[in-house]
Amino acid sequence: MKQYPTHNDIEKCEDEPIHLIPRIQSYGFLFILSDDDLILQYSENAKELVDTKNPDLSNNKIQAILGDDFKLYFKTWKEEKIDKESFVFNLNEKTFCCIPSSQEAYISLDIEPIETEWDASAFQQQMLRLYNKISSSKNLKSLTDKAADLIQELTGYDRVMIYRFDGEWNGQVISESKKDHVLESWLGLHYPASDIPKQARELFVSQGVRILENIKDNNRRIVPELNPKTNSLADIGKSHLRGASKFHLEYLNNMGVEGTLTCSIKHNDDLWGLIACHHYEPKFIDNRKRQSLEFLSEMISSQISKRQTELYLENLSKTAIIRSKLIKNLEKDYDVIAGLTAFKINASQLFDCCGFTIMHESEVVSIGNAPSKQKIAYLVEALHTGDSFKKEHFYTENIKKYEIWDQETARKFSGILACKLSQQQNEVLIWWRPERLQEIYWGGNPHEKQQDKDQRLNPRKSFEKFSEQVYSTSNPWKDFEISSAKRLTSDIKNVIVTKFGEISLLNKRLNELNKELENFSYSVSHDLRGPLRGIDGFAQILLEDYKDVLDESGIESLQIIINAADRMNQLMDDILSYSGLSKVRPKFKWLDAKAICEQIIVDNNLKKEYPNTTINIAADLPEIFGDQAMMYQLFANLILNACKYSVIKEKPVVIIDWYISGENNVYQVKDNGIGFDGAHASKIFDIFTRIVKEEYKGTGVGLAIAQRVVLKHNGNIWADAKEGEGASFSFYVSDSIEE
Amino acid sequence: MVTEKIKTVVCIDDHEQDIKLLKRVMEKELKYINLITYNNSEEAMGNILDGTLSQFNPALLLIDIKMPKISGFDILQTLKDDISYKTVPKIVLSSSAQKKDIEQAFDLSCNSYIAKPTTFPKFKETIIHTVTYWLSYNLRSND
Repeated sequence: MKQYPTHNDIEKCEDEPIHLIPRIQSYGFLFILSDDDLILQYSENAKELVDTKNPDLSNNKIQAILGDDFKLYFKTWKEEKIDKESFVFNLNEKTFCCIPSSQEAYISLDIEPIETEWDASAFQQQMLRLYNKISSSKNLKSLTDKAADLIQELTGYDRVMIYRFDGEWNGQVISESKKDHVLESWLGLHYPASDIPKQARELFVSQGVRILENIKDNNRRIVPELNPKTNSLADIGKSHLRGASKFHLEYLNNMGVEGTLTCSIKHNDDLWGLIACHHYEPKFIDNRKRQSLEFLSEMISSQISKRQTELYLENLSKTAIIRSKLIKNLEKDYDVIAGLTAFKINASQLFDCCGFTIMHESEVVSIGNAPSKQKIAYLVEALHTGDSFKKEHFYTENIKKYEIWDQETARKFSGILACKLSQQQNEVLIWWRPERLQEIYWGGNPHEKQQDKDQRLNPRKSFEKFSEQVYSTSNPWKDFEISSAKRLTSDIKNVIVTKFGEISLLNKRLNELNKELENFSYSVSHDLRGPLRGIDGFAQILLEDYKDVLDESGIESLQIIINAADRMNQLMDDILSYSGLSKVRPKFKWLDAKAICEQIIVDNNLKKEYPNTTINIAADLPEIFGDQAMMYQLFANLILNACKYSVIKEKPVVIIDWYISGENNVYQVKDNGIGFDGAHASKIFDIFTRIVKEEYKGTGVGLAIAQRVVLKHNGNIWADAKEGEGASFSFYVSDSIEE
Repeated sequence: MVTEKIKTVVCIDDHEQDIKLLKRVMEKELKYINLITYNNSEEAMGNILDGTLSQFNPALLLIDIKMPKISGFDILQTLKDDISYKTVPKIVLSSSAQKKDIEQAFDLSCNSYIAKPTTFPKFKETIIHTVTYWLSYNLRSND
């Protein structure tokens, strides 16, 4: 960047490149050096520091300007070049502190005065005292209160505040220590995120302690303005002397503050809060003291981290008991939904919430207070379409801002914590939290327009207490709550995986058993055929050879043996074809049902076998969708049955007809034969079930085969009959089969 | 070219009962046939390997598949490798009609595969047809 943007160029505070500000504060001097120690740039006040007639300090060796004492220490520093490792040197009988920092192309030096005498053992004692005070505090509040008091005491600032950020970088003053003459307390006030913009927060994290000595004298230019090496503004983000943003100065001025000091408080490498010190006059704290403060703020940070972590773990272990109970519940019958919702301990008890919903395997089950299924579906859909649910979980205290629901629902269920059970959209766990009406006190109206009439960005001018009722916002989701929801979700996923594994294992075993059974029935019926051939064969031989010798009862006995063998053969054929149905992979296509029926009549010689029977096939019998061989068998079994059971009638009639029912073509085979008791209508399709008298030969397998064929075609079959008045068998099949 | 010249048919089948049924059919209906039977496939295999069987000059072989120790497939394999059976029709007479058995039998150069009929009348009819066809209608180069 070649020129620092002017006031009018900046639309948002967070756009300002504050690390490039080409101005420094007046309490010290800045030098920017090349790697071989030549001065490239310097602050315009540097000439006050050194006694030189030379109007331009550029291209002088820094050692020539700052003297021998400096030369010695600087040499040592350059060996390792550790930022922030300052050293003290004498120049013209004054003591200065030098804070060097290195950039890629240059080195910058902060030179500032030293005020305090250095006493290492006193420093140690002081720090130890502070440490003991801070670490002995009972809770977070007393810790930050104590820290504010200690820092106020140590530095003498008029007001010391501990400021804590929320999830959206709004801040709240959680502890305050002030001198008596400062009247108004700011304790408890909130400040909007825009008061401390993003790039300023980042510098706080890297810098640790930041002083603004005098906001009204903050304008020492760096000359030349552009770094000759890089031909752009020098990055002085690491310099303590760096000038402040005009917006920030104006903001402080609006507050009436003239000197400030800020220390960052970190938790898990993130900015947790700030120690903000305000003075109503200019105030300088030298680097030694600032280092003590940095040390102190590190101490506070680690104490806060420790407490936060302890609290988090404590809360998490409380939820762990409920989590383990929930998992036990759902492992009972591997029912995820019931496990989370149906028992005494349910998922809504995991932490504070008003209700819980699970969407799993196309079911939606809620307990407690939850939105309607439709609203939930709408929410989940919207979350999946947007970017918000890219991660495994999603949470918000304020669902309203996502503009998914109507206002009323968004107030009833403002807080949402959702975890995905799988990548599929409708596999989610959701906890609900209602709106919590609360009054927030802001340090000034946060909604005050930041732009004036000329559309120029301006900081807030008013710091009057401003109270605001907050709607559509629930209690925030705490870290331990989010963690325990995530852990529960991953535990459930494990159970689902286990369940899936066990089911597929069972399926595999079932398939093996089925196969074994089929092989068994096949080989049994084949092995039985051998002996049967013997029985039949030798009975026939006996009959052939000894017909003349045997009396009537002997012949009849042989005939019975032969008939029995014949029936047994028939039975085995049927069993084979019944079990064979599951072996064959059907080929589905549209078939001419009428042609099939006609073929059956020809193949079975029905006209000769049943000369008195009239067989009528509906002329418009529609095509049927199915496997050729199976359909043939289905119609054949029904037609042959109809013929068989109607033959004793004087004028037997068998009708093959159809009608439309809903989306299906229903095919019907009717006869006027002996019929059966309608009460047996459902039993009649069971294998080996025979409900007619012994005089009708049959194995009780034919209708079982018919039913199996229909079921294989995703259809249905049923019977209607009256004893002595004929029977009708009706079926339909699906016209599209997923193979 | 129907002749009444005595011809030898060899049957290898471990079912004693089926052999008896076969004998019965031959004695009654195919009197010109000299039937030699093995109800033990090991013995049959021995006779094939030592040349005893070819000395009977068989005009037709009827072989069962499912036999203990030495199966009909083993027999077929051995016959396939033996030049003296090149023109002798090898007919499988098995109770199995499983596709894989049929395929394997033809892979081993059987000439015909017949599933044993389940009833005696059908059995009789099948044997008469089959034997008559192979012995009376089928031509062999050395006839």
